Formats: sequence, C-alpha cells, structure tokens
Amino acid sequence: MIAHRAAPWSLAPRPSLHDLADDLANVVDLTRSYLSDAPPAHIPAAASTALDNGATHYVDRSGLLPLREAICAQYARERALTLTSNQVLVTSGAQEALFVALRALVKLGDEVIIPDPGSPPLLDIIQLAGGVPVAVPIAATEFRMQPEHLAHLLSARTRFVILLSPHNATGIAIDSTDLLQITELAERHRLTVILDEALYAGLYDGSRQDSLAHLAEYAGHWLLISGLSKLHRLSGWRIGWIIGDEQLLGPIRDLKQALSICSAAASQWAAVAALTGPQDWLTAQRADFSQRRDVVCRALDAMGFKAVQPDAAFFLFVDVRATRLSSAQFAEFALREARVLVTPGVEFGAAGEGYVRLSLTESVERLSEAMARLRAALERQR
Amino acid sequence: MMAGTVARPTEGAALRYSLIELAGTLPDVISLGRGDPDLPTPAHIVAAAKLAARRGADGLAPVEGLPELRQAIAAKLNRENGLAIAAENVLVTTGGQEALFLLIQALLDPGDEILVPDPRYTSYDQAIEMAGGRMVLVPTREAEAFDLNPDEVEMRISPQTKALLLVTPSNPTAGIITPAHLHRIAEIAIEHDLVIISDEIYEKFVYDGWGHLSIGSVPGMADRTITLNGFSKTYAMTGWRVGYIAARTDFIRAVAKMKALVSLAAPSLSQWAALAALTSPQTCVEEFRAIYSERRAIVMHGLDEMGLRHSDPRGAFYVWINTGSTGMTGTELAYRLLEEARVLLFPGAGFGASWDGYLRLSLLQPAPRLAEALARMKPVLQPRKG
Repeated sequence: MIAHRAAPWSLAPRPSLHDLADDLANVVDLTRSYLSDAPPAHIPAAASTALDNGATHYVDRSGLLPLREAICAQYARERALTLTSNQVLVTSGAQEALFVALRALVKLGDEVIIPDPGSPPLLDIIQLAGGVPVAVPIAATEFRMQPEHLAHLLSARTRFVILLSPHNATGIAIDSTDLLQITELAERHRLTVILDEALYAGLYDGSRQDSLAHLAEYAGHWLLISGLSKLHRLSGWRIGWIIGDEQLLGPIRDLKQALSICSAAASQWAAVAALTGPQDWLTAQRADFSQRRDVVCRALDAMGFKAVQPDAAFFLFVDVRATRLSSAQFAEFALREARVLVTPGVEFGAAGEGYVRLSLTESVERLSEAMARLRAALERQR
Repeated sequence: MMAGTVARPTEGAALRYSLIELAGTLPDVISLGRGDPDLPTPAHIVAAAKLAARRGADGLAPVEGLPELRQAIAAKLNRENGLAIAAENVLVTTGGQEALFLLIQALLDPGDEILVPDPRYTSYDQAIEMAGGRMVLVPTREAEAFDLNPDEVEMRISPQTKALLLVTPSNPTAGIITPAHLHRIAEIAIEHDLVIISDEIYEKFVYDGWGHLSIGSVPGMADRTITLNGFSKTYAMTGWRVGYIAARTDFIRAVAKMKALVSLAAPSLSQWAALAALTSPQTCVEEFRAIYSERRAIVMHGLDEMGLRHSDPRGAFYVWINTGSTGMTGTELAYRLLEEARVLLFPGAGFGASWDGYLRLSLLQPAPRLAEALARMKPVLQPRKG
C-alpha cells in the first residue's frame, strides 16, 4: 500500500537514546531545538484580538499583506535589503518554506550543494525532489563554508547551494564577504543560493546586523528563508517565509497554495505583532543565551573539551574526540553515566563525527548541573 | 467585454485564482467563489484557542498531532462513521489540502494509476503529478445527479491501478455517492485490491434526507481505506488549517515522516480549537446545515426562474450550474458575471478542462446577499430570446 519513497518510514522506529532517556529519571535534555518559554504576552494577545475580529477565514495565499509588509520593513531596517511585498511568501514555518522552495525548483538530477555537517531533513527533501545532494565537508575550515569549497564541487548539473546561517549545529554564521563571493559565483554559474536564516535572530552581538544590500544586484540567484519558530518562541504557531525574486517565487507560491492553501490566519496576526511590537525582549534573551554559553564553555574547558565558537544562539558544537569515543558512543555515555541527553554530531552528517551538539534551551542552573554531572562521570572513567 | 491582453489561465486552480485576484481589484463583489464559509467560527471554538494561548499551550505539537486531538478524532470516527480506529491511526495535518498532498506522496509510486471522479477538485491533480502517479478520470453525469457509477469505475481498472479517490459529498458537483454504489465500489476495491481514498470533508452537509456513509466502515475495507477529513468546512474553520488522515498505522507512520519534512506539526492553537469543536455539542453544525439548506432553496429557485439547469445539490454547499441555455461557456460567463455583475462564481473549467459548460456557485453568503447576487446575475444569465 505504501509508495517506495515512503516505505522505509512505515517501519516501527528503532529505540533511540530519547526512548532510553524517557525511562530514566531526572535527565537534563540538551537536544531540544525549540524554546519552551512562552512568547511575550503581546504576541498571543494580537492573535486573540484578530480572532475576535473574525480572522477565521482563508487569507491571501502569499500571506497576509500586513505581515508581508512587516517582513519587508524588517529587512529594510536591519539588513538594508529593499523588498516589495510581492517578494515575500508566508509559509507554515521555515520547514514548509524549505520544502516548497526545493520541491518547486529542484528538477530530476539537479545537484544541490549542502554543508556537512548540515541538516538531515534537508537531504530527505532534496532526494524527494529528485535532486542529488553534494555535501561539502566544512569541519576543516572551522565549520565555515568557503567560496573555494564550492568552486571545486561545481559540475554541469550544479543548480543550488544551500547555506545554513547561523548553522543549526554549530551556530556559525556566514560572513558578508563570503556570502557576497558565493552569490557572485552563483550568478556566474547560474546557480541559486538558498540562505536558511531560521536562527538569525539569535546572533550574539546585537550590533552585528549584516547588510544584505548587495544581494539586490543578484536578484534571481538567491532565496532567503527564515521564520519565527526558534528565537521568537513561536514554534507552535507555524510561521516562516521565503523572500526572493518575484519570478523565482512564482512556482513556489503555486506549490504552497497546492500544498496548504494559506497559512493559519491567527498565527499570521501574531507574527505581525512579533515583528512590529517591542524587540527588546529578544536582546535580553540573547544576553541570557550568551551567559548560558559562557557558563557551559567554561565548564567544558575544565573538562578539556572545546566548543566551536558560535556566532548565534542556541547551540554549542563540542569536540569530544579526546575521549576516543564516537559521537554516538559519547552521547550514550553522557546519558547512561551523567543523565545528560545530547545530540551526536554524526546526526548532522559524516563530518559532524567527533562532535556533540548541546542545546542551551535549559536554565543556567540546569546547564551547570548537567556539566557537573558530566564532569563527575568523566572523572569516574579515569 | 473581455478586458486585458495577458493570456488567461484556462483551467484548474490557476483559473480559479486568476478570478479571485481579479475580484480583489473590483469594488463591491459578491463572492460565490471559494469554499470559505462566510459564517464565523463558533465562539466556543475560538474561545478554546484563546484559552490555550493564555495557558501557554502554544508550543510545537508532535508531528502526528496533539494526543488529545488524535484521541478525539478517533472517538468521532468510531462514533459517527463506524470506523474501528484508534488514536495511533490518526494524523493531524495543516488542513485537508495538506492531508491529500501527504497521503498521495506516501501512496503512489511513479506509474501507479489512480481513478479520480470528474469533475474534480484539481488540487488532487497537482499532488498526483508530483508523486509521478497517473490520474485516470472517471466521468460523473448530470443525468445521474453526479453519483459515481461503479461500472464506470470498474471498466477503467488496469494492472497499474493502485487507488480510487472518492469525494462524497462532491466538490464541485454537490452530488453524493449513494450508499448502494459505495457498497458496490467496496466490492470492486476488494476484488481488484485497490486502496480507497475517502475524502469526506463535506460529510456533515447533506440534504433532502440523504445520509453519509463512510466506506471504511464497510466490512473488509478498514485496511485499504484512507479517510480524509478536516475542520474547515464542518465548523467554518478555513483560516485555522486543521485536517486529518485516518488509516493503518504503517501508512500513518509513513505519512508522519512526510509531514515532518513538509511542515512539522499543524498550528497548536488551531489544534486546541479543533479539539473543542469535536468535544462540544454539535448544535453549531446543525445550525450551519439549516442555513445552507435555506440558501440552497433560494438559489435553486432563482436559477429555475432564470431557466438555468442545475442538479439539486445533495450535499456540500455548492450549486453546479449548467450554462448550456446561455450559449456561453463557464469561463466566459464567470468573467462577464464578475466584470458586469460583480458576482464571483468559478467556471467549471476550474474543476477540469472538459467541464466548461458549468459554473460552480458557493452558498457562502447570507441569504439577502445571495438574492442580490441572483438579481445582478439575471441580465447576464437570462437565456437568449428567439
């Protein structure tokens, strides 16, 4: 009954570390990729008001105009990128954005360059679309995708380059110069750069707001994907977006409409409030994250581990090679011996081997507790 | 008056959306186009979402849906539809549209054939095409009130046929598949080992004493039936985006993985609202049905007065109008009605290229607006004299 593409998914899943963790008491879970804290009250309040005003119907398939305008205003203000509302497509989270963009644009046999470590769902989507993922190992260059990397991998079939910035394992953000060079290269070779910025609002240095003004010259050769699930604490509201050249967006919009008609109306009004309302809470949240990062990094140092220095919240990618354990073995050790659940780096790709990802979504107290337990467990091993 | 020089889409969703966009540029249009109920979502359902927001129940839900909602859907399907379904057989989607997309991708391999009653909701076309499946159309006929004829189904079955889509009540024809035909179709499905996709999104709106039968409840059908439903139509919740699929657990697991790649979970507050819709008294649905029934009578009467042929809708909230007496195609008429009468109807071609002798009128405006729309339409629609 099940299509070949979906057949492996239909099997009962094998027990994972998460299942083991469920059976243990008092585990500190450092694998979460969403914040459980409630968003500031003005955001759900805006949704309630919208519902009272009858926002229970379909909305424009491109997204509510006030939301698209708020998105345009934000990129103009923070990134010096001038957009019109026709260059914005609202989606049900950044996940749907990635899916519709790749599924609409990638043709059979197209090569798609992605970083390794990267994002496993991304590989699945590319393959579903009939594309061929081409992984660039980026561990040797401090987890930064370099323009030279790409030049080596280009073939006659290369069509797309996906950049995760900030990266969802390492927190590394691509710098403006590299992005400019990659975009130039994309234009020369008729490629499309897909810039996934779902974690952008987590960039640690509040003043570090990279301009995207130069992208305007390369319209037609890039798409930018982002959303409100991560730092804005709106994961359950399902709001993301794609921005890009109108022509490039056309088939993506058609697919989005065929897939889900439009995104939830009340969520879109909440998103308007999130983008146009007070922003200082995000600054405070970044400060919280940098405190958590510092506490964990100090504790890791004391254990002889080094984390990749992240540009953004809310993960740390930690080198555990000194233990001579694989990343999966380390994760199992951490769970069994310290009741700390971490994500093996290999889950993000072969180049993530030797690393584990720690999520900083827990409080400083819980993080300190986790580090103390890990240290004690390591000492017991000596 | 055919304004504009840009080539217009000739069929399917592109045609429908081009009319919606044109309507957006005109003043005072009465929209009888989209299947978006004018009635607001009932207050107790909205209140449940607001309460969920206040108590912080807005975090990301599991990919398969909130456990409470899956449980309530399973209970509903057992109670109302006679399906032996547990919560693990249910997957919540971001609207019925996503449900159909996901299940088609998880079902069809390239080259697989799927039988689809025609005219049809053309979003299925896109989902089938994307899966590499081959759509084989099964005509339905005005003379048979757009019921699906089991013989027409059977004669199109080939060794490549994997599935049969049933949409009852039907969009756009507002016909239903009668219980006798559903039983015969079930026999055919078993005999030819077909999967049935049963789209029951309009199940609550049936008229003239017709009932609704879920084919998954017919003996022998449970394991080969994928039931699709949602909240948009039944509870006037189009803007919330909640639908669901009920099927075997292995199929649900496959769809869940697809769902994780496509959009993770459906919006949480929408799911709490949907839970309230299912677990509260169903009087709102009774009220909706009574309202649509009254509007249906007004519109049928108005069309009769203009001498326009239509089949009496047995279900849904549409009237499928035959444009033969006007001497014009559905597309010509739809543009003329929009530009000259400021009334938006969808041309039949929006539901399949060969159906441009029809128009779909949705009953989703208050009765006085419907009457006003009919009055405006009259000069355009009146059959030509002589």
